[in-house]
Amino acid sequence: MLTLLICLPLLGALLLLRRSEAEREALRLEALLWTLLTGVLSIFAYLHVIDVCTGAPANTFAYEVNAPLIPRFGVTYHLGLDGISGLLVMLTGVLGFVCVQGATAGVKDGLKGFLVALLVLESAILGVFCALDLFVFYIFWEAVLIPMYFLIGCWGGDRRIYAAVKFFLYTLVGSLLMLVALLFVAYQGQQPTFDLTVLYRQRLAPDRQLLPFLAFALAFAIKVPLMPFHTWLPDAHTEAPTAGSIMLAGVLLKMGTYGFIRIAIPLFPDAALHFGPWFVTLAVCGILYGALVALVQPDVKKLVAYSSVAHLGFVMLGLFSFNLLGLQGGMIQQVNHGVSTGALFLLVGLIYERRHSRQIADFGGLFTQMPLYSRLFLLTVLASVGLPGLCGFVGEYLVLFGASQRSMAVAALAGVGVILAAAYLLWMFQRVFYGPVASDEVRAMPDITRPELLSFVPLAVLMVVLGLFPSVFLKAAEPTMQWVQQQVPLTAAAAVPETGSKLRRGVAH
Amino acid sequence: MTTGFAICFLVLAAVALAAAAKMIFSHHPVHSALYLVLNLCASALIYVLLGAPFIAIVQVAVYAGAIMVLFLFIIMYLNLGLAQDVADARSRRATALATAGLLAVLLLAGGVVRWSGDLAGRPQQVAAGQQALAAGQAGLPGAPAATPDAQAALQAARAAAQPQPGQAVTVEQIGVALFSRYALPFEVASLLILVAMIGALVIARPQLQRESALRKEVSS
Amino acid sequence: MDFRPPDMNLWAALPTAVVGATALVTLLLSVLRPAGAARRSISFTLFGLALAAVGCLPAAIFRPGPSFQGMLVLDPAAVLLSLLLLGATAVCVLLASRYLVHDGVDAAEAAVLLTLGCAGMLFMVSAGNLLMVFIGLETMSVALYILAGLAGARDRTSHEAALKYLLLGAFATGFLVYGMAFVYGATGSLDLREIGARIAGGGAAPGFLAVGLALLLIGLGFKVALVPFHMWAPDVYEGAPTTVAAYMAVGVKVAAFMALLRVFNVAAGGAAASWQAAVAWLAVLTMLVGNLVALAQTSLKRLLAYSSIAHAGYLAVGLAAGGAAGAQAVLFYSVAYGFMTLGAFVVLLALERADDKPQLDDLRGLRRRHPLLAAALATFMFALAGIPPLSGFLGKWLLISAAVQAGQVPLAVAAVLCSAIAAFYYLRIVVYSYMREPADDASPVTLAAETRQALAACLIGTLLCSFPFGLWLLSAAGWAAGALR
Repeated sequence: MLTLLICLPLLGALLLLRRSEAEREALRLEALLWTLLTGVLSIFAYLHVIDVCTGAPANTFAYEVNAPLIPRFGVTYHLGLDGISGLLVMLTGVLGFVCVQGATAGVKDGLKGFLVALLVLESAILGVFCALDLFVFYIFWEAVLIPMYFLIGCWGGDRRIYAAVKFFLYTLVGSLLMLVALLFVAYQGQQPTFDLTVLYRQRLAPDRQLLPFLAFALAFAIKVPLMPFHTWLPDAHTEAPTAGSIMLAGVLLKMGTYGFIRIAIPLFPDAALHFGPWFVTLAVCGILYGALVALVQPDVKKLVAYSSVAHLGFVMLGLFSFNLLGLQGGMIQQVNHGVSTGALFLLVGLIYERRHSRQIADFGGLFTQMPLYSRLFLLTVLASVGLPGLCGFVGEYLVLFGASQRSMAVAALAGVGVILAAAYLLWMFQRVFYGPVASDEVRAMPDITRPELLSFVPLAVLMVVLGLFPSVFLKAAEPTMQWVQQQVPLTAAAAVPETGSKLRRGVAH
Repeated sequence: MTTGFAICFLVLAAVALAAAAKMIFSHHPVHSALYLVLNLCASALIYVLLGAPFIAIVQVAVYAGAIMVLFLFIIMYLNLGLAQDVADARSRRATALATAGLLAVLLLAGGVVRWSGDLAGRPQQVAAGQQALAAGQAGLPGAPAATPDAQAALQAARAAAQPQPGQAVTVEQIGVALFSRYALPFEVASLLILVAMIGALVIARPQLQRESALRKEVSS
Repeated sequence: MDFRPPDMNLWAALPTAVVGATALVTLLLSVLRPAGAARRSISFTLFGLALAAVGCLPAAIFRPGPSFQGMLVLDPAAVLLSLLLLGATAVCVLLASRYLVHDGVDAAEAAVLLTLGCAGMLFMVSAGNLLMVFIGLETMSVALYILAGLAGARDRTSHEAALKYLLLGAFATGFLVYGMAFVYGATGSLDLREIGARIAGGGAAPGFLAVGLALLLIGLGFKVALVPFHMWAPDVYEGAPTTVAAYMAVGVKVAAFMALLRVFNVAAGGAAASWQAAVAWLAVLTMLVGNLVALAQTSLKRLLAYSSIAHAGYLAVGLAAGGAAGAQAVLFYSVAYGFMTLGAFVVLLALERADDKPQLDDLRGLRRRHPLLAAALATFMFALAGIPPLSGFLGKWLLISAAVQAGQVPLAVAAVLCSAIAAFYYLRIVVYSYMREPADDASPVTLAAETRQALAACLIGTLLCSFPFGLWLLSAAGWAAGALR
């Protein structure tokens, strides 16, 4: 099942290759078909995951496949989904469809290559989330780079080459060190093994965890991106074509946070705890820095890009609170960010196609010109700032609550970030959509068309569903999250055990 | 190793090194070539000392004889170094005489030492070597020896089958080795020579073609 | 003195014999019937190489032990690399029939020299004795000295390349032979298995052995262009005809690394303490210098030359790691490297114009001028950079895991950092061919039939070495490494 899911887009890409460049419509429709198929399959997969994983013991995986791949090295073809990866797989499937439906009109030439790269990218990302073996994980992790590199470099904006190379090299440096750490970990036991579920059981001694943890954490932190390693992100986001930005913000960044949840924290809990304060500090810095920089951006896309830095800071803050509330908050927040930021990029892409500008100053009074579009934008902005009832609220609330259990000061600072987020997004909204109509070009902009609307619908649905029924998703992820939380030896390190247990009870309700 | 052996070796080695150095540093190509001859002869004598008279003869005959003659021929053919007229002929002659004298002494000394040593123990040594060689070869392709003892014996036999320093290797032994133990490298070496030959032809061919074209032009 | 007939296991000599015979027959045919010799000798040579590849199969099945008194060891590792070398030679012969002939070289000559060089390489990879290493190396080198100078009529740098290669090669051979003499002095044998046994039994003089191994390392290091013995490589690669440069980059390196593997990893494995650190340092130095200098290159040929130097460094990591894991890594990486480097050179040839050497700028907008060529080039570059799931990644993964397994984590870290540097210039090639617009006067690229076939062969080879197909090769390499004795 999972193999099929991973191979579907890849197969689609291969089949697309045989079509000629000239058949634009046929190319698009065929790609759409493949992504639609993948999307539907991923939704079904997640529904099954909810069934299997809710209330199940820890490390229960749906659709588990486990076959030896290279027996001499202990490499296994181990795939499986749980409440966390299943959710991300569904997000990937949905976003793949959204990209092809909503963000291919702007691609003027080389549509075939574009769609092929997009489909290959989708395959690779699905692979990352399905993998339960470090070798397989690493292959997919790195394989993501190639299509993304082409997407940014070939179909991006003016500074696309710079952005593409920067993105590639930044990520590569991090992940190569991860490769060494990965091998180091795999060769610790009696027999080499790359199977995560086996590695969970043979933990390294606390003092030997530090360096491998740092190597893994560096790779993931670059991908997230955590504050000092974020500089590739604004460039890549801004220069990437709309579909690239959606994939990048929607799921690529989640590979980093997912890596923390799945690998870095449970494999090296002592080291994670040891370095925890650093990560919390960086996360809070990221929240505030991202928000402040976003506040002064004249470019809408750049603004959204910096808002990503801030949002991902929340996710990291949640994860490194090391309590169930924070972890769950981080988990759900990364999905929320994927949905709402993906939607923002999609919408920004739509007006860029019409106006060929992303400068806030070039717009104004869009509300009267494009009423439907403006309402959708408002919905997305509200979801992003965390209005209750929409997706952003749950995550931010849980993260802040979780963080406050660890440190009131940190939570307060992060809370300032929430307010700032509301400020820069709403201020941007005000400048772009209200006020007098800026120019004749704006006046000539047509409202959102039906195909564009179709691409937005799945995201809108997700925003509302995630906002209204978060417990479904949280419950599915709970076994794993609870297990991850138990791995971290908080009690040994002067934590607050009573509050911890209280929390656990609180969440159980 | 006797003291005589050591002295002979050290002197010969010194001569060889000095000759090599002079070969590199002398300005006249003919001198260089002659120093190379000296160097080769000194090495040949070292081979004699080590009990490899055949190699020594080959060295002198092929390198010092044939190849160096070719070298000198080419140097003279190209008229190199004629411009470098070295004025000081007398000092050169003195050096030449001294070197030649030294060489003669060494040749004699080396020969005498070697010869006397050989005469003393040669027949027995050869017989022992042959036996050991046979034993070693019998053990070679067979199944792996079962016990460590047998292994050690095999090792010893193999070691004995190797010609020891200070014990002359006959031409016969070399011939047998070439066509049994070293048959493959011996054959493959012919391939190597073939490559070199083809290569020489390929390099020379443009020149040959040009010349034949020229000849045709002249005759027509 | 009794004469024992040599132990002649002809299965073991079959591939090399076929290759040698092919060369001789081609030579004779082209002399006896000059009319139409060019086409015929090319096709006959290709046929002969294919026959030799088939000739490897009995060896893979019957597993003849050391033959010819231990001179020739056609073990699985040798079969694996022989097949690669035969394939590389076939590709080069194909290319030579198009490009070298263009330079005014006789097709039969080129084919014969390439085939004889191949015979030398085959002897090197299956050598069981230092003598065979030497003779194989010389046969290969002499053929390449000539080949490097073949384009001399058109391009004077070709002569310079040939002369430089000859002089430095002869120098390196001196080191090699001197080293062999020392090893013989220390262990009393030239037979690799026997040397191993002596070392294991403590019967080797450690000082002499260390000196001998050091000299051998220098001699073979020259051939594979390990820093600091790499000075010749960029000039020679640039001056030599591109077909020959490709042959050097792949054939020589693979053959010489197999010899290094046999001498150091297998025979001198018991004395690892005396050479492991040296090889590790050479590896780090080679990766660092090769990659850093490659960053500054604008001539594609020089860039590939430095890249191949850097790859010698990666291979040396496997050598330094030692053991079966290291051997497996070297074997796998050799095959993967062979295909991807050969492929890169084929693309280079396709871009080459009569008057000048291709520069980075000539790649501009290749995506529009010839999409297929651009895609192939990108594949080879990503493979060389070691990005999964391509072949280079599996190779690097094996190398690094061998180093980690051997407890040499700093070496592994150095290797990955260097490959991060390397990614930069490989990416630049992709940037030029995909993301920059073509120059106004850029002509469309057309591929000759031979080039297309060669390109297809390299591409298929690279993909077969990539994940997931590469896993078969990976286990084959593991099996072959296990059988190395």
